[in-house]
Amino acid sequence: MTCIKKITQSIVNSCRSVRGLKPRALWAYRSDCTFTFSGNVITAINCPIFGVFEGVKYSLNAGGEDVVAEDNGTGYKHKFNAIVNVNGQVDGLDDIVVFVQKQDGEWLAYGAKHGLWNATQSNMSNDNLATTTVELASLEGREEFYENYSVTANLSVVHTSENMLSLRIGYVKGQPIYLTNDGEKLMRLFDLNGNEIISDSDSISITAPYSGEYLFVFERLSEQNQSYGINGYLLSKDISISSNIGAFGFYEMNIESIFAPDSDVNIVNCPNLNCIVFKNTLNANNGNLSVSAIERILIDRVAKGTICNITLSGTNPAIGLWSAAAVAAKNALVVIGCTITYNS
Amino acid sequence: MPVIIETKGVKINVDTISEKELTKLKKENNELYNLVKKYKNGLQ
Repeated sequence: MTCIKKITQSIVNSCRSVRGLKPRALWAYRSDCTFTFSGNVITAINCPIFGVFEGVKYSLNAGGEDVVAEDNGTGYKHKFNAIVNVNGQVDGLDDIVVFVQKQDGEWLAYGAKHGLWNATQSNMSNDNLATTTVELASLEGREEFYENYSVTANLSVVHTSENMLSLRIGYVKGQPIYLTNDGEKLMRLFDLNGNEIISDSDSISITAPYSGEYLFVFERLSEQNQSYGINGYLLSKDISISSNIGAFGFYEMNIESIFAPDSDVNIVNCPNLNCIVFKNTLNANNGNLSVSAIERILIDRVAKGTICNITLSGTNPAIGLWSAAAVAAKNALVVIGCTITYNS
Repeated sequence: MPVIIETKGVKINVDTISEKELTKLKKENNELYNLVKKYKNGLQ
């Protein structure tokens, strides 16, 4: 067996090339995704959530360069560069896969096998109009097998919105699908073939037409607070909302963790939840949380050390059932000015 | 189940707070007053 592949087709330069990417790329956490590869082609993508790199003109750049060694096969270091102008957005952005679109419409993926990691990041207040330049790249020794991956899987569904969040949620046929938002922008519900089932800007209430996965796409306004509410069975058990949605509500869901550092969170009857990171307000009235979940939520919030509003009344356990550590955390939050509501 | 609202220097039992205390709270902390009223009115 040999690592050296023999090329059988012609190698050509097909007339005139055009530089540049479309100024909008998608990204997702690699470990959340599953891909179907056929050589250097990705034929199917399953990511629970996509994020967006919004650029202007040529502010996004991506590519690959070979890494040659005498004692190892050739690998390809993937790189993705972006210029962003909102502080702190790309801090800690590691192990992601990025999807960029060429001017001719073809999608390419970078980091799909081994991830892109924050390689360099720079922001100087007096230079480059105070923008942040970030480069994400393959880690040394974890290069990719191809210069890039061509994506034939349908990414158009999650790309149609100006600014969006997508979630894959599973339902059993006949189960109610219920989503609400504040009426500002569309919520769209698709099957996994990209066929739109229904869309509305205020609420969606239908009966699941089949058993399996559905794709929700939430359009949102980038600079304004919006609130969304969803129910159902999130497949990943964990949800990460990394952008500034005003508030997100979860109703009767089986999720186990919510990471929403830039959003307020509303919870109703999510008994499996044990970890919630939120911006300022957590309304878990009737959340049906466990004692251990309350302990972790409060202790995590003490570590954050900022003022907050937490509601733990309704169907949640009374304070007399809480652990000593949870009560101590509640007291610490009150001292710094948080407002905590709970059952006595 | 009685509901407690607690913040820095204030601990309120929503079920037992008197009208006199509510009036005082409205003058001192309108935001907290509104929260208490929401619970008293059963809106949450």
